[in-house]
Amino acid sequence: MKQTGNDIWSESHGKKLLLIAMSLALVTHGIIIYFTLPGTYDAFVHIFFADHYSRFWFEPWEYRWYTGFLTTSYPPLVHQMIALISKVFPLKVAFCIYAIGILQILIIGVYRFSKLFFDKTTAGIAAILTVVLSSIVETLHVYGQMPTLTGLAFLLNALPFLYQYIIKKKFIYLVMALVFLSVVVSAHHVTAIFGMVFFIAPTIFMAMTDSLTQLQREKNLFWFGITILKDGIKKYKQLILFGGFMLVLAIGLIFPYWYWSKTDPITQVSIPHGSRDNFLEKTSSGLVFFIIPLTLIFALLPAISFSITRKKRFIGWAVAFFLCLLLGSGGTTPLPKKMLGANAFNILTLDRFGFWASIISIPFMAKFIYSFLAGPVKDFWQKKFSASTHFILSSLSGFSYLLFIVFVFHLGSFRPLQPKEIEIQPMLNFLNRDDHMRWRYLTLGFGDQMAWLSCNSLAATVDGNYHSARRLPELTTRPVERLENAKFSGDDGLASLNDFLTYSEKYSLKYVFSNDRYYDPLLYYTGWSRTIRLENGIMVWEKGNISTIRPVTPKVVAPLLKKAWGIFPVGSLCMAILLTALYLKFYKQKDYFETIPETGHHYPIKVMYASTLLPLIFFSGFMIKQVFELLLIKEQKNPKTAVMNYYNHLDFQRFEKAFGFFQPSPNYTLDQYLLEKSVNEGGLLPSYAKLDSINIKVLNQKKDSALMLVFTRWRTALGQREKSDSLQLVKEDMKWYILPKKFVPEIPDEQMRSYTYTLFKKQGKRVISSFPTVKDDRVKKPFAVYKQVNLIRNKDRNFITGEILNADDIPINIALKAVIYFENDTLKNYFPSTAFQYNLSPKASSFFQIDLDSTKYIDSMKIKRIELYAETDVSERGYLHGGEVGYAVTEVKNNITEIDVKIYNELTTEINIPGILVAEKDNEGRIWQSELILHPKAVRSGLSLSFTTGIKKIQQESVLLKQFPISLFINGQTRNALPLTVDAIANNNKGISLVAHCYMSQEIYLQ
Amino acid sequence: MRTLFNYISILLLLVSCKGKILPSPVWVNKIDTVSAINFNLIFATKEKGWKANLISYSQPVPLVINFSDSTLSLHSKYQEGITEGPATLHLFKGNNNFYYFFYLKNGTNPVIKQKDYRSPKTVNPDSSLLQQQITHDIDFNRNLTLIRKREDNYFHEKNLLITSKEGVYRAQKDIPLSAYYLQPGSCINIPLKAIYKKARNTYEVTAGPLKDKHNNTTADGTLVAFIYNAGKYNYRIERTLLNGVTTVSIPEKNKTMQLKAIVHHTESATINLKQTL
Repeated sequence: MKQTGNDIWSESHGKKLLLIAMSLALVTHGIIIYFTLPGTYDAFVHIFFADHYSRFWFEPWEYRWYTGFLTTSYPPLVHQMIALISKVFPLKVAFCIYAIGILQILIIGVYRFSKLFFDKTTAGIAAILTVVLSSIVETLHVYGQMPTLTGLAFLLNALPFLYQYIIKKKFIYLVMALVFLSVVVSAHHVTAIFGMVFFIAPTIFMAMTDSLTQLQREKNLFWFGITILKDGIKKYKQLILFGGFMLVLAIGLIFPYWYWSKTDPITQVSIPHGSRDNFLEKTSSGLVFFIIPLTLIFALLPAISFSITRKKRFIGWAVAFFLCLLLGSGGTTPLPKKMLGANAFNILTLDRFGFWASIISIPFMAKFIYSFLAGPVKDFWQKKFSASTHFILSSLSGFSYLLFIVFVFHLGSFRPLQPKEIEIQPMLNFLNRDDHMRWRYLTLGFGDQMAWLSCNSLAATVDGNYHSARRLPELTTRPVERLENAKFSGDDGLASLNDFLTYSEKYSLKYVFSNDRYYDPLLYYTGWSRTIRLENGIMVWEKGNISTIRPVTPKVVAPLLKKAWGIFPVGSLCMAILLTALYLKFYKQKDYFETIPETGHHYPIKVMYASTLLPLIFFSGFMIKQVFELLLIKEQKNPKTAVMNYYNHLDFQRFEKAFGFFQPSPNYTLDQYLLEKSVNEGGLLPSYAKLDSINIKVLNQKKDSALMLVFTRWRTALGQREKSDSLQLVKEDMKWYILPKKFVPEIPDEQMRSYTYTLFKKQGKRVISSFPTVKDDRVKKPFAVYKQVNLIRNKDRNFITGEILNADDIPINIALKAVIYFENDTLKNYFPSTAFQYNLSPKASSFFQIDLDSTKYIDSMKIKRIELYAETDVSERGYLHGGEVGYAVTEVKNNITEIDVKIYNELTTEINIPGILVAEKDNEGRIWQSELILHPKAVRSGLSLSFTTGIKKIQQESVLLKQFPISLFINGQTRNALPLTVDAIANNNKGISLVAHCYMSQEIYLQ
Repeated sequence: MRTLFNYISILLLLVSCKGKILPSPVWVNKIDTVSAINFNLIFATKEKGWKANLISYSQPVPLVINFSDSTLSLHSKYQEGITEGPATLHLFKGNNNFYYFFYLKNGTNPVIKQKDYRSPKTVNPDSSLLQQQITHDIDFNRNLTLIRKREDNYFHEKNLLITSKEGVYRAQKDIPLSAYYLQPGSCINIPLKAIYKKARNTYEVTAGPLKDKHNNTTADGTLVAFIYNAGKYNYRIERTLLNGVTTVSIPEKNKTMQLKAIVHHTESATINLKQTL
C-alpha cells in the first residue's frame, strides 16, 4: 500500500482509528440507545429474562409467562450480566450500559477480525465502518438483539486466536480461542452453531492456506485443494483437539439448554416472520430485512466480490459470504428453503444470515473505502477526472449514507413498529392492590412493552413474548406470535385470543389491560366487563367468577444443573476477562500477524466505477424515494389510486388527509365533514375494524368523471365483515376528487333526552385489612335459576342450550361451565362464547348456547354424564343491553327465517354496536339454538335502526338428546330447572324469540 | 509416627469432649394454670446462665430472667392478653434442655363480648323466614369463653322466625358487620296503566307499585319488560324499578296495540292501548 505521507497513516494509525471508532460509538449509539430501546422488538424480552435472574438467579422456573416456563430455554449470559448490572442501575439503564459495552467489544472484534485479512489501517477503517454499518445499527436500535451482538462480538475476537493456533500451534492461542468461544456459546447458541460454519471453518481454511508455502499457494485450484487436504490431515491432532474441546464446552456450558431442547422439543405451528417472505412480493419485509441491512453491501458488491474471490485464502469466506447472502434473501427464491429444509426454514429468522454476510464483508468494504479515500481508487478518480470530482463524489456518497443511517436510527418513528410508550405505574398499582395478583392478566395492544410490564411486577400473564417457550395448546396450535397483538395474526390470532377470553377460567385469567379498542367488542361479548380506566388511559376489563391461580408444578431441573446454569456462563466471561489480562501481560506479541500475506489495493476499472458510483446512486435514490413518498407522491393521479388512498387514510383514522380527497368547496369544510362523520358513522366497522382488503370496480369512467364501486373487507375482533359502497369522482386540476354524498341528517324530535338508570355499587371490603376477607365481609352469592337446559344435536354439531334467570334483587354476573364426563374417565370443560348475556339485571334472564365437540368426537368418547355449573357474583355494570327492540318474522323458506328488526335507542348514549340475541324455540318453548347477531352501524341516542337479518332454523334436522342426563348446579349446589313454559310471542313469530344485546362504549358505569 | 499418634490422640480427645450434665431446675411455685399477665415462675438451681423460651399456644412470649441466691425467676414482659391454651417453657443451658408444661390463661376477669351469627345472612322471603342463630362469647383477646348464662357450653344455636319486613337488621347493636339483610321478594302482581298524551302522541305507561307477598316494595333495579305489538311487530322495552314503580313512554304506532308487563314469571293483565285512554 502506498503511503500518502499524511500523519494519520503513521505507525499506530490502526489503533488510532480503532479509538476513534470506539469514541464515535460511545457518542452516537451510547446517547441514542436509551431512546430507541422502547421501540425495539426484543430489548424488553431480554430485560425480562434479566429481571428473572435478578430475582431468582439459581431458579430457572419463570412462572410469570405462559403459566410457567424454564429460562434454561435460552442461553443466560446476556441476561445474567444485565441482571448483575441492574443491582446498581435500573434495568433499562443496565441494558443500555451492557449494550454500549458489547458494542465496544464488537468494534474491537471487527478490528482484530479485519487484521486477519488486511493491514491495520484497513482494520481501523473497518472498525469505524462498524459504528455506522446499517445492519449493526438495525440489529441494535430496531431489533435490540443483544445476544446476537454479544455472540458475534466474542466470536470475532476468538477468530484471531484460532487463526494463530492453527498457524503457530501454541497452546495459549487454543486456550484463548476456546475461552472466547465459551462466551459465545453462553450468550447465543445460534451464533455458536452457525458461527462454526460461517466463521470458524473459513478461519481454519484461511490459516491452513497461509501456512502453505508461496509455491503451494500458487498451484491450480485442484492441486491447491489436494495440498490443503494433506495439510489438514497433518494437522489432525490440532483440529481434533480444538473440535473436541469446543464440543465439550458447547455442551457442558449450557447443558440445561440442550437438555431442555431434547426433553421438551418445540412442536408448535411455525410463526410467520417477515424474513421468510418473498421480498419481491412483500416489499415492506424486503425493506426491513434485506434492503436496510444490506444496501451498502450491494452498493459495494463489485469491490467485495473482486477482493473476496481474488485470493485462495479467502475461498472459505467467499463461500460463507455468498451463502449467507442467499439464505438472507428469505423466501424470494426457493433455494434457502431447499438448503435449510422446511423445518429449519420455518423456525429460523433468516435476516440473521444477511447480518452475518454484512459482517464478513466488513474488511472487504473497508479495503475499498480505504482505497477510495487514500489509495489507488482515489488516484484513479483524481487523474481521470479531477480532485474536486473525487471530493464531490466522496462527499455526496458519505452524506447520503449518513442520511440513510439517520433514517435507520429513526426507523421506528417513520414506520412505527410498536405502540406509543405506555406508563406502567398505574397498572402496577392496580396489580398490587386488593389481591389482584392472585389472578392472571392479559395485555392487549401493548407490543413488546408487555414484557416491560412483566419485568416490573410479580403478577402472571397467560401471554408471553418468548415464542419457543410456549406450551399452551391454544397458542402452539396456531401461528400466533402473541395474544396481545392478535389482530395482526389474522383469523388465527383472533381465534386464539377468543379461546383465552372464553376459556379464561382454565387459566385463571381475570384481568385484561386493553390499549386498543379494536378488541372491545370481543371482550364485551365474551363476558368481560369494564372495571376502570387507569390514569394512563388503559382500560381494565374484568371477568367475574374466575378462580385464583392454581399452583402449577414447575418442571424439575436437577439442583446441580441449576447451580451450573447460574455459575458456568458468567464464569466463562470472567475467565475470558482474566485470561485476556494474562495474555496481554505475558503472551501478546507485537507483530503476531506476520504470516498474513500482503494484499494489493488495486481494483479493475469497472469495479472502481461500479463501487464508487453505486453507493451514491443507491443511498441518494433511497433518500429521494423516502422524500418522494412523504411529500411528492401523487395520491390522486387516477380514480382508483384516489379511492385506495382515501380508504387507507380512513383506515388509519387520518381524517384530515381523507377529507383532502373530497372536491374542494366552500360549502363542504373539514368541520362539516367531521360533523357529518360523527353523526352519520360509528359502529363495528368504522370504530372497531381494520381494513383487510379493497377491491374497486369502475362502473363508469369518462375524461373527468368516474363512478366507482368499492368492495371492502374488514377484519373485526368478531370476524370478517364485508361492505360495498359507490363513490362518484371528478377530475380537477389534474387530480381526482370524491364528491361528498348528500347528507340526510337524522335528528331526534326532542331537544333533550332523559332516561332513568338504576345504578348499583358494591360496597367492597368493609374491614380495612389486607388479610383475606372474613365471612362477615362477603356479599352472598346471588341466586340464579335455570329456566331450561337442553342437549341438542344438529348433524355434526352438539350444543347445550337453555335459559338462566337472575332470581336475586341485585345485578349479577354469571359464569357457565359445562363438564362432560366420558366413559374412559376423562372429562372436558366447555364454556359459552358470544351467545349469552353474562351480566343480568335483577329478574332478567338470558338464553345461552354452549358449543360442544363434534358428533364424531363425542360419540367416539361416549358420554357418561354431563354437569352444568353456574357461578354467580355481584356485578355493578354490564346489565343494560340496549334500547327498545321490535321484530317480526316475515318468512320461513327452507328453514331460513327472515327477521325484520327495529332498534330504537332510548338511552342517553350512543349504541355503538346494535345487536340481538336470538333463540329458536319450539311450540313448548324449548330452545333449540341461540345466536348473537350484530349490526355494523351505530345508533345515536333518540334514533332508530331497521335491518333485516335471519337465522336458519335447525329444529327439523336436529334431535334433543335425552339419554344423557344433565346435572345442574348453581354456586356448587344441586338445582333443578323450572318447568318449561310456552312462549306465546315466539309462537306468533314462527318460533323466534329475541332480546336486545348491544354494546355501548361511552358511559362506563352502564356496562 | 509418634507425632501422628499424638495428633490422633488429641483429635480423639476433642471428639470425646462432652458438656457437663446439669440437674433439672426445680419449679418451686409449680401450678397447672399460669396467668399470662402476672407471670412469675421460680426455679431452684445452683447453675447460672440459664436461658428460657416461653411458647404459648399461638405465639412466643418474651421473658425476663433473674438469678440470685440459687433462685431463677422468670417474669413476663407481656402485659397484654394472649390466645389462651397449653404452653411450654423451655429452659436451657449448653446442651441441657428442660421442658415444663402448663396451661396459660389471661386475667381472671376478662371483658366478655357476645358474638351473634345469622345464617342465611341475606334472607329472601320468597322461600322462608327462618334464620339460624349461633351465639358465643369471646374475651378481648378472642378466647372462646363459656356462655355466661349457660355455663355448660361455648356455643348456642337457635332457629329464629324473623320479621317479613324488608330491611337491614343488626344482630348486635352498634356493629354494622353483624347486620343481616331481609330482601324484598318477587312481586306477585303487576298493576299496569297507560295514559294517552295527545301532545306527544304517546302512551305514558306505569307499572306498579309492585309488592311481594309480604307487602314489601319490590327491589330497585328489578327488570320489567314491557311487551306490546303494533302491526306485525312485537316490541320489547326493558325498564328497571325505582321505589316499586317504573314508567315508559310508548309511541302510538298502530290503532290497536296490546301491552303487558312481565317480571320473571309474573305477568300483568294485557291492556289495549287506545287514544281514548
